[in-house]
Amino acid sequence: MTEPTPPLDVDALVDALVEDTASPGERERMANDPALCARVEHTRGLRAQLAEPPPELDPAIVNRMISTALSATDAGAEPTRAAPTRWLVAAALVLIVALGAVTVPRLAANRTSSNTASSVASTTGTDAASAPSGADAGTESDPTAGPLEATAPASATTMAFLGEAPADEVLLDRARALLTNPPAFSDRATAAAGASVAPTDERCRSVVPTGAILTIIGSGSVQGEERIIFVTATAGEAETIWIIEPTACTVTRQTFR
Amino acid sequence: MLAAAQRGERDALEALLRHQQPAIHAVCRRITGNDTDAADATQDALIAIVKGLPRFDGRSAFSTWVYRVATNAALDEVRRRGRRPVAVVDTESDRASAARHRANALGDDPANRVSDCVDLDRALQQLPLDFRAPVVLRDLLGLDYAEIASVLGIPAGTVRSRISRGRAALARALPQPIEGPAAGNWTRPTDVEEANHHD
Repeated sequence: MTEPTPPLDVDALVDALVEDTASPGERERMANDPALCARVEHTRGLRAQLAEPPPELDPAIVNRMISTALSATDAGAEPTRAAPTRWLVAAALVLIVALGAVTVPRLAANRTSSNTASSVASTTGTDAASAPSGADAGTESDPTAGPLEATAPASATTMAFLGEAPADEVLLDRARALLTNPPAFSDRATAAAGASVAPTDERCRSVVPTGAILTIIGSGSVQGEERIIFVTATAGEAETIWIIEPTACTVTRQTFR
Repeated sequence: MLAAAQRGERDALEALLRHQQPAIHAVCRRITGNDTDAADATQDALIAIVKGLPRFDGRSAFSTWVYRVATNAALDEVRRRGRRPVAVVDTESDRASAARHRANALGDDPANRVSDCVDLDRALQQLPLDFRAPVVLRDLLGLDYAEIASVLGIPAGTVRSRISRGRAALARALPQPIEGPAAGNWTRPTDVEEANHHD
């Protein structure tokens, strides 16, 4: 009632005033508009509160955290040795994903919505090796089993496919279902422990070119470390598998037809 | 120090972690909205830094990379717990923490304070994660739009838009100034209401 301009414009104006990037004309407008002035002051107050750091952790807790973090270097191999190992496992993942991407859409298409609904409720990690896999009998002859066994240590790799994404909500339902009950690409393919998918998950999405059509998104892990998996399709029908380490958004990718 | 830490020198690595830990925790605390999840996220971030440091290639500033790790850890924690934006943990520890913070926050001029820390935490938790993270990075850490864009992996224009919308949402979620000429009046909760909230 007291704001003659559209809300979005006012938001931007308030921001400009709060950030001290407003023009002289905009400042004059604020000076002549008490409601706007109040809102700017309100926002400045919020900023001031946000700027105050929250209470610090107890030093003993900090010490324990740092000690735990440092022990991660003790547990892992030296960086120069760890890197090739990761790449080997990542290469194995690419093989799994590449062949899985061919077979899973067919399998996913055969899955009924009831299967999806019943799986969504389960959020705890499950091991596909111990779970029934009747729906995936066709993957028993999956040729990826051979090469995988040669390159990936047992139980080091988990993988979950989330299927095609015709719509966001459908993607989410299918994602949860497939994460908790993934198709069995081989005896190495197990559910991602505690897997979940959030509609706002945009981690590392920026590494995928904006022109690409995102068809499949998934998650998995390599030796306990999380990986995000995108499968994109381009107009030429080439598909690219993106295996992304979510901390630094480092990418392993492979394009195939 | 960074180079030494990357070479695996333990003292340098420890010093690096100690130096970065307060900022990491602050980001995690603001994004997760409670002490427990913030501690978990901080721990995850510290571990991720240790593991990822050998791969840090210096294409971005080290602090930017650290903030990215911290932000991702906090967002992961929120998602892992399956919280919706409106869900707020209000444990005894959180209330005590908020009360301590509030005592500090109200120290200068309480009459002009538009909100208290408890309200702020709750309002932040109502923000979608897409808005919450950039607002926290801007207003808590003081990062500029380009840095936030680098941390979040989104365009700077998107950062600007999300911050603007996020602040507007925060302002709506928290006590609003009364519209009209009496701009100095605020409809903030009274301390009595706050005391009731604390039992």
